[in-house]
Formats: sequence, C-alpha cells, structure tokens
Amino acid sequence: MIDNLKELYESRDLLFNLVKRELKVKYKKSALGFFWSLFNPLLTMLVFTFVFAFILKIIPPPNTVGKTNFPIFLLAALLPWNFFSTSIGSAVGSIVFNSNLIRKVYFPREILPLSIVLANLVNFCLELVVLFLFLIFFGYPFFVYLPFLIIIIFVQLVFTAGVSLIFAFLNVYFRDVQHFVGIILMIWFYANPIIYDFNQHVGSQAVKYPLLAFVYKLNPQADLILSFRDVLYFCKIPDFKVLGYATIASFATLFVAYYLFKRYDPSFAEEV
Amino acid sequence: MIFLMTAMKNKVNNSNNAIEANGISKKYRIYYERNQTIKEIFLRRKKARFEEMWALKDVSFTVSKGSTIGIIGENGSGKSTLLKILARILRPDEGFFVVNGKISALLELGAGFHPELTGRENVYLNGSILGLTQKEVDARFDDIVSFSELDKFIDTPVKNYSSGMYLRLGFAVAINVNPDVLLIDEVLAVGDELFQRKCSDKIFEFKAQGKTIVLVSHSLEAVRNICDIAIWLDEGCIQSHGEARQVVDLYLNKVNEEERRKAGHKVEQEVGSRAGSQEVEITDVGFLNNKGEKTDSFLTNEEFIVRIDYDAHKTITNPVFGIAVYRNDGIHITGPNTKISNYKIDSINGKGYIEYKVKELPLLAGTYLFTAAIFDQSCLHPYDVHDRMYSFKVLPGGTTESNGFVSIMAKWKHKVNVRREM
Repeated sequence: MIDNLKELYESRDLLFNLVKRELKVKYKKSALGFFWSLFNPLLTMLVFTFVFAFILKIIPPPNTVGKTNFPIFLLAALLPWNFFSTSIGSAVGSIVFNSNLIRKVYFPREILPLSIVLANLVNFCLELVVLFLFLIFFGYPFFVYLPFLIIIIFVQLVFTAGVSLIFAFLNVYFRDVQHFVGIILMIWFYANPIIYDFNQHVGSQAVKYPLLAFVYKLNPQADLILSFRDVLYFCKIPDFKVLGYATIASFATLFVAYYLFKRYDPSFAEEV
Repeated sequence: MIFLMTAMKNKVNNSNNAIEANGISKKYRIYYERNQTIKEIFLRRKKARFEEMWALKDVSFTVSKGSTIGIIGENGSGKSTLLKILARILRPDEGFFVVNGKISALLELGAGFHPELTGRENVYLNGSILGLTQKEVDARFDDIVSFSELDKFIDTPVKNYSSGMYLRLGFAVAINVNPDVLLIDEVLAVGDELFQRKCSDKIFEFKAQGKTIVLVSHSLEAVRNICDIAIWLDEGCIQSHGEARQVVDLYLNKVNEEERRKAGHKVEQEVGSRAGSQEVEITDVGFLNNKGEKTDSFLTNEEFIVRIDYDAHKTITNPVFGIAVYRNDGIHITGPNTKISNYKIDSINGKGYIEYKVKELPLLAGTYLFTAAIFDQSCLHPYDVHDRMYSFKVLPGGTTESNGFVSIMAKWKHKVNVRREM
C-alpha cells in the first residue's frame, strides 16, 4: 500500500497532465468554453425551481438569517451532486476506454479515474465561485464558514475518488457496469436531499419507517450534501455528527476501493 | 538527478546486472465463451470455458549493465509478452524479475496522444506517460521539437498531422526519455528510410552512453548489428541464449531447415537437395584455404578455393560448371558459371575436377550456403545440381568491416576544395 502510494506520488506530473488534458479537450472546441459547464447546472436549477417551487410549491426552511430561497437551496446541494455524478459517470469507463494505453504503457492505473475526478473538481470549484457571487448578491453571510466548506469539499473528493475507483474497476470485469451506472446515479440522486429538505421530508418519516431511514442515513453522500447545505444555504457550522460520519465513511470507501483496485490492476492489461 | 540517485542507490545495493529475470512464466486464457456481462453470469450460470496456454515458460536470464540484448523468435513465441512483463504491463504468473534503475518501454509511439491537443500539449502529456517529470520535459522540449522537425506545426492540433508527422513526434518524445534500461518493441520498423536511420543512430547513441537496451525485433540484421547478446524464444522457452551473432545464426539455421522441410514437399526447386539427370555426377565439393587444406571456415580477404570433383559417365561436350553462394538467411550473393566467364571446356569423360579460386574472399563474417552444378551448354538441362548442400563459415577477424555482407576492395579519398573563413 505504501509503495503504491509512493508510486502514485511519483507519477503526480502525469496525473496533472491528464487533468489538463481532460479540461482542455472538454472546452477546446466550444467558443463559450468553460461557461457551458456553468450553463448546465443553471438550466437544471431553473427547471427544478419551476417544477418544485412554482408548481409543487415546495418552500425550503428559512436559513439562520431568516431567508428562504429555493434556487440557492437547490444549488448548494446540486453542485456537489453534479461533481459526484459526472465524476462517476466518466470515471467508470476510464480504464476500458484507455485500453490502448493500458496495454502499451505502464503507469499507476488509478491515475486514469483520479484524473477525471480531479478535472471535475476544478469545474466544481469554479461553479462554487459563481455560487458565491449569488450568495453575496443575496446577502448570505457564508464567509465565516469557508474553512468548513474546504473540509467538506475535501471529504467529498475522497468519497468521489473512492466510488470512481470502484466503478472503474468493476467495469473492467463487467462491461455492463457502464450502462448500469446511469440508472444507479438516477436513483442515488433521489436518495439524497437535493430537491427536498432532509428534516421536512425524511426526518419526519423516520419514526414511521425506521429501516428505510437507517438505509438512507448510511449513504455518506447524503451527509455530505447536508453539510454543504448547512454552510452554503443555512449559513451555519455543519453538524459534526453528520460530517464526522461522512468523513469516516468516505475514507473507508476510498481505502477499500484503492485496495481492491490495486489488487487487481496488474491484470487490467489482459482484461481490457 | 532522479536517475543519478536511483543509479547510485542501485549501485550500492546490487550487482552489475541491469535485469535479472528468474523463472518467468506467463499463461494466457483463451476463452471460448466469456462471461463479460453480469447478465451472462446470472443467466448462463456456468463457468466461462477457456483453455490455458503458456506464453512463457520458465524464462531466466540476466542482462549486465550497458549491454544490448535482442529477443528473437517467430510470431507468438512470447517475445512481446516478455517485454511487456519487463515493462510491468503484464504480471508474470510465476517467477520474478529485478530491474536496476529507471526503466522505459517504447511499445508504441505517441501513446496517449489526443487528436484535439496541439503538438506541444501532446509532448508534455506523452512525456509524462513515458515517465518524464514536467521539468524533464521542459528541459528536453527543444530537443524533442528539433528532432521531430515539426517546429512550424508544434502548436497545431495533432489531428491535422500526417501519419508520418505523428510518428515523428511520438518518436522524438520516446527517444528523449532518459532511462537506465530501455525496452524497445518493433517500433523501429515504422517510418521512412531517413527516419529509420535517425532511429538507429539514436540507439547507437544510447549504447554509447552505456544504457541497457532490450530490443524485440524481427529484423535479424538489426539484432546482429545492434545487440551484444540475444535470446531466441521458441514457444515461450529460451531456445538459445548467448552472443548475438551466434544466436541469430542458430535461429536462421532452424528457419532454413524448416523452409527446406516445407520446400521438400514440392517437386521443383528443392532447397538443399540434389537434382539433374546425372550423366555427370558431382562426387565431392571441398573448400580449400591458401595452403590447399580442406576447411569450412575462412577469414574475410583470405584465399578461398572450391574444388568440385566430378565423374562423367559418358562424353559430354561443352559442359558448364556453375556455383552459387547464399547467405544463410537466403540472400543470393553470387552465382557465376563457366559460360558467363567464357571459360570453355571442350568435353569431359571420366573423373576430374574444376576449381573456383577467389584470391581475396570479400564476404564478411557469417554462415554461407554453397551450390555446385553442372549443366549442358545451353544451361537449360541440369546434369547434376547440389543446391545449397554445402556450407562454409566466414569468421570475424579478417577485416574491421562488419556492416552489410561484403567487403569491397576500395580506398577513401578526401579533398578540401574551399576552406570556409572563420
């Protein structure tokens, strides 16, 4: 394990270059470049706001300064979710699609999914900057909690990396994982408090359906979303119990994922 | 710096071997029906059917630092598998190996090139894939660009490159990796003549710098010229291991034998066999040196005499004696006969011999096959043809020349016309 990590560290330039490749290729041809990546969550936000806030009349709970704002309520959860889901969605095929590289060159294989996750992280951070502009515009005092936000982003990165490694690895042996992953992510989306508030809609049901609530709470991504929303929407210190569990679960996920991945990656060249 | 440090570290804790391989075996599974989807695993509920095949079996060898080793063998003999194992792309099923120093494998040119990215961006990407750090690419960038001769196009996306430009850029990056041990697979066999020459120059440069090179090649000429030692793999086993020229010769002998065996089924054009109506028979063919002693090894520029003994069972007028010399990889070097040389023999009957004398044998070191033949005056009807039934060797040492296969008597002359003012 230590040797593997050392090797990964020594290949950091390759990781960096692959991240650059991801980003450059993504925006090279379009005139608007990076703005396309902002356009997508904004459009989703508009559609969801229209459906949930205007038609279904969902009103999010007010934050610590007494403000209610569905678009920000939504974006605070949607942006981390988008980071997570687009990372998984493209990392799943990263080993198989790069079979020509895998078969011809040696390098730590985990670099391929990790580079995708990191490229998406860059996007995510830029999107957050845009969200900050909204927050400032609407007068949300979130600055105080920025250090927490950095911790939460880091934990989110750890969890995303772990899940990406698992899916990328599984896809080498079972090619239909890349088809399944879309469905899994779709279900997972609703299993997170993104378009609804946890306390309003899940917490109140917990007594009636204890098992379902338990399963719901096992999902570290839901805890991460709660933490993001605590800082970005409610403008408060995240719940340490929630964030603590998310941290432990995320590191455990990454550990198991990395272990499995490294155990099998010497035979990737024969399988892809 | 990094190389230096690893090199020093390795010097301290290890011997003079760059590579030590111990009992490496690799098996492949050839699947008939493979479960590659989850559905298949659940629905078919049977194990995938496969057959195991050993691509490498108990391969052990060492390569000392600074030497160049060639790996030869037929297609499917395990050459590339061995190279991929050394490059850590594949994992051996049995055995282990140690590589001292930084290793780079050139199995493909332009690995990881992205068509949308410019030449410059791809150089950095490809460089880091081959194990260079950012700084190392920075330091070599100008060399890479000038080697590739793509100065004008370096900021053009590589999708607009011709395939030759693409390869040139890939190779320029590849040869600028600076490993202690370099693994090369067939990649040299691409590109035009000029490019290939540049490549082999670069390999000789690597050699001169004392790097260890492992070369997998079908070009026996390349292995003979570049490599010090060679390994001949046959169906995954080491068939022969030793001095490159010897191993190549052994391998060639086997290939020739096989060719002969296959050709043996054909009636015409038998290789290494006898044909003709045999009114005259060739009774013996001997190679003599300048002392008149029978031998089958010579030195370049030594006197070389062939004596062909015959027995004519009836009177033959104007017979034509001919010989032919082949190198053992099948190249026909020469094929003179008495008719071409205007050497008239009126008639023969009974026993006699004819001599073919070469004052200074121009052939370079190698193994040669020899044909002796007697034809009628039209050269259409063979009396007796001993096609490639004899062989002789030319040992190294008669000349300092070693490139190609003949040494031509010639002199160099240099003259200065105009001296450039400094």
